[in-house]
Amino acid sequence: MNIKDRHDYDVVIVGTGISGAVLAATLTKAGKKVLMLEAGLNAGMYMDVNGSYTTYQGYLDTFYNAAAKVPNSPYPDLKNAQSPNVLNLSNKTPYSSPGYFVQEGPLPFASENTRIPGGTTMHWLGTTLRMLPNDFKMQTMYGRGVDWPFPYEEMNKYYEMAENEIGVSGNVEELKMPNMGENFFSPGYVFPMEKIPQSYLDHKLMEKTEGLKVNLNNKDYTITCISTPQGRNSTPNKKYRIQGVRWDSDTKELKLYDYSDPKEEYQPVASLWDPYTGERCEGNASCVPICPVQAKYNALKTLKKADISKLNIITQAVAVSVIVEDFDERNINGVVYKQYDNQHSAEYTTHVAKGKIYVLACSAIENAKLLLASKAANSSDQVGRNLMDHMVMLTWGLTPEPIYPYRGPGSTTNIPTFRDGEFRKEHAAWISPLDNWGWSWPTGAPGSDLTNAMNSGLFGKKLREEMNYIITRQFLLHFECEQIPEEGNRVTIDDRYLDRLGNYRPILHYSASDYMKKSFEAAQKVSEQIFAANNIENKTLYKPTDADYVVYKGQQYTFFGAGHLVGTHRMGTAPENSVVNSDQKCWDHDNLYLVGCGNMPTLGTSNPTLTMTALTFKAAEAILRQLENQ
Amino acid sequence: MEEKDNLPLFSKISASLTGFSEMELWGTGMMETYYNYVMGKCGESSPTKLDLEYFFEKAKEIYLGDNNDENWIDTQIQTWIFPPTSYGGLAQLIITLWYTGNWGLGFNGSPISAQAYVQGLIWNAGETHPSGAKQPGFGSWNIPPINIKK
Ligand SMILES: Cc1cc2nc3c(=O)[nH]c(=O)nc-3n(C[C@H](O)[C@H](O)[C@H](O)COP(=O)(O)OP(=O)(O)OC[C@H]3O[C@@H](n4cnc5c(N)ncnc54)[C@H](O)[C@@H]3O)c2cc1C
Ligand code: SF4
Repeated sequence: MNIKDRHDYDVVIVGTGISGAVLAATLTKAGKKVLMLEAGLNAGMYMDVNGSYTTYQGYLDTFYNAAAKVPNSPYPDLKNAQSPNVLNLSNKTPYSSPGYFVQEGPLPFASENTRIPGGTTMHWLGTTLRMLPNDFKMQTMYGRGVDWPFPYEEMNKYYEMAENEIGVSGNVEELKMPNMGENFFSPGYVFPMEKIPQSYLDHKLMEKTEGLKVNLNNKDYTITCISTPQGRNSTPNKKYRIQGVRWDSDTKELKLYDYSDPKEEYQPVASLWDPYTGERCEGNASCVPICPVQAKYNALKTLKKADISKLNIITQAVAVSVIVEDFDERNINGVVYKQYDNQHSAEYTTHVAKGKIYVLACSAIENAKLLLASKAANSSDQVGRNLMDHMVMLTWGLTPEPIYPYRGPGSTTNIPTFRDGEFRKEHAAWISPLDNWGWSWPTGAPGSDLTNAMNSGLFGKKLREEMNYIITRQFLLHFECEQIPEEGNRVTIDDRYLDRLGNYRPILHYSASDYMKKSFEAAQKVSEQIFAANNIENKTLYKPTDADYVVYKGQQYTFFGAGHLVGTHRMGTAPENSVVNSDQKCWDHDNLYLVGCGNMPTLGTSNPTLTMTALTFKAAEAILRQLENQ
Repeated sequence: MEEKDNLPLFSKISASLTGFSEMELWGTGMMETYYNYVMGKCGESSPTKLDLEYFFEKAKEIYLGDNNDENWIDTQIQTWIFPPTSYGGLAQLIITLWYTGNWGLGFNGSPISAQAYVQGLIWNAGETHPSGAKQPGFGSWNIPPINIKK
């Protein structure tokens, strides 16, 4: 029987982002039959040379033509499966239009995801830091948030799987981070590829920032700057011997395995359409929203590795709910989805997908929404709660000498100094990436610089000189502050808010606690000292028209979303306090797993996708065990 | 009047307005496209066809007279051409078009084509390349840009 006509799927996965793709590839390679449902357009799923090239060039062309080059600008804006968009943000909460999210406030939730094949990794930046050991025990260490159900040590194997799958470039030896302990990496561990070269501006800034003593709330800290591991292609590291991940059905474990032939070595995964395009990062400096050569990892690269004889993907299929026929019976009986033929029409047909095990991989907010719509998995009343993001406070200024930004990947260096410490009892921790793309994020530079220069009467050679002066000296610093889980920051649904297909739109309730506000103040104090040491003229300007800001002790602090949708179906130690267990299986159902950043009990200061991908390998292992024990 | 009659003038005035030489402007391959685009855009509403006619009339006075002194030309442009109140704001629209590929100022602008975005001179002015195009190659960001033009 053709896989397409099968109805005896082992696993039905909703969503083809990195979490869905890692599962599909791992499960099919272990011989399981998988059905995937994907809300986005069929063209986005093409894997052949011509199809993938044509679709991708279409994205690129849309990006070039876009007035505002925001993360979702290259990708189809689907009325039948809308994606949230930062262009819809306003500080006038509550509001329900425009956009996909209904923003109840008091603050708008400023991060978005993308509903296309490959999901949000199509426009992610690709930073792949691990969480720190203390991130797993926030409650025990600092009396904040919750502990994870297992310690860092249990994650190491899965981190190595995730780093292999994404293809991480980085230098293990440089990664000195607070309280990381002795066994953070396995002995002798290296990443698949050498580090991505740090930018010229990193080096200029590090001259005066590396080793800088700063004082924060009467305590001294020494600033360090380290290269950032990331999912974009660089020179393969000859010492890296891991070939991949496979299921060992004897021991019932997922295992890393090495190249057997010593002559074989790690090959960077190039673009979908050409093995010689994207083997190295070419410095297009547009990773968010689109890497023109696909040197940056995206989830379609993983999906391409799946065993397609075992995989069926139905596109333009928007999941509506999971079927819980009988509450006492712990099984899910299907996924209801609406399939549309034409993206410009609201017509659809309704279907049910069936398998032995079901997995939601739609990204945190959508996963929670689907569970709420299904009245599933929620005996703990935790579904939708604890929505988190990194609240990104930016500071920017003009350097005395040119540092030549707007080149290379978005960020190649970070300051890990404030990722962990006693201060977490008082205020949030943060990581500070140095940004390579000038002031584009907060000010719309360099376009806005042109407007300013013309407004001050400049044209001709003077205009050109001014543009040269200002563009080459723009420095931007991030403070990605770890939001702590709070019950009130949550996703809900309401019959009043439906999309064009009649599906629920997520309603978001979001705020910043004093714990966060204190971290903005602390971060400003650190920023000030770094700017002073580097003779940077501070140009930071927060405005009352900014979408997200707080006022703390009379000062306004503006923050942005980091694109990190986290925490809406937390993992925990018991059915009373959480939605999923440490295998990421719902406590309430025997055949429903959730994957994605929604499972993370706390956020840490690292971008979440590497950790989430590691967890997804853990879920894959649990699913395989369950299938083989049935 | 022939459609292309004012192209040489458009080139001259574009150079004076942008600070890029005529050769650099022609090098983008966008000269005729922009000229035609501007001709097409000036119509009923501001900037009007008439604005455009007066604009070229003034440009003729400036460039086709006896005085070639750059400072004098600059003063003329500053007085007559550059102000946003002159010729329906045409000068700043033209500068923006060359620098960013956008028609429209600031957040009101959007690229007239993908190629226009890619050829934006703002990136050259900042000694870099348009984000998402003209990739400078692996590791290039690790050292100062090598094509420093002064
Ligand atoms: C601008 C930006 C930059 C980022 N940079 C980084 C970074 O540097 N490092 C990092 O770690 N993380 C980063 N992230 C976050 C990262 O992109 C996400 O964590 C990750 O992609 C999530 O993967 P996922 O598979 O869980 O969900 P997604 O990638 O969002 O995939 C969900 C999939 O489900 C599909 N889907 C959704 N709803 C339905 C439905 N109802 N029915 C059927 N299918 C559906 C979608 O179409 C999509 O294919 C960034 C995010 C943004 C926005
Ligand atoms: S810098 Fe360019 S080539 Fe490298 S990942 Fe980003 S967009 Fe791709």
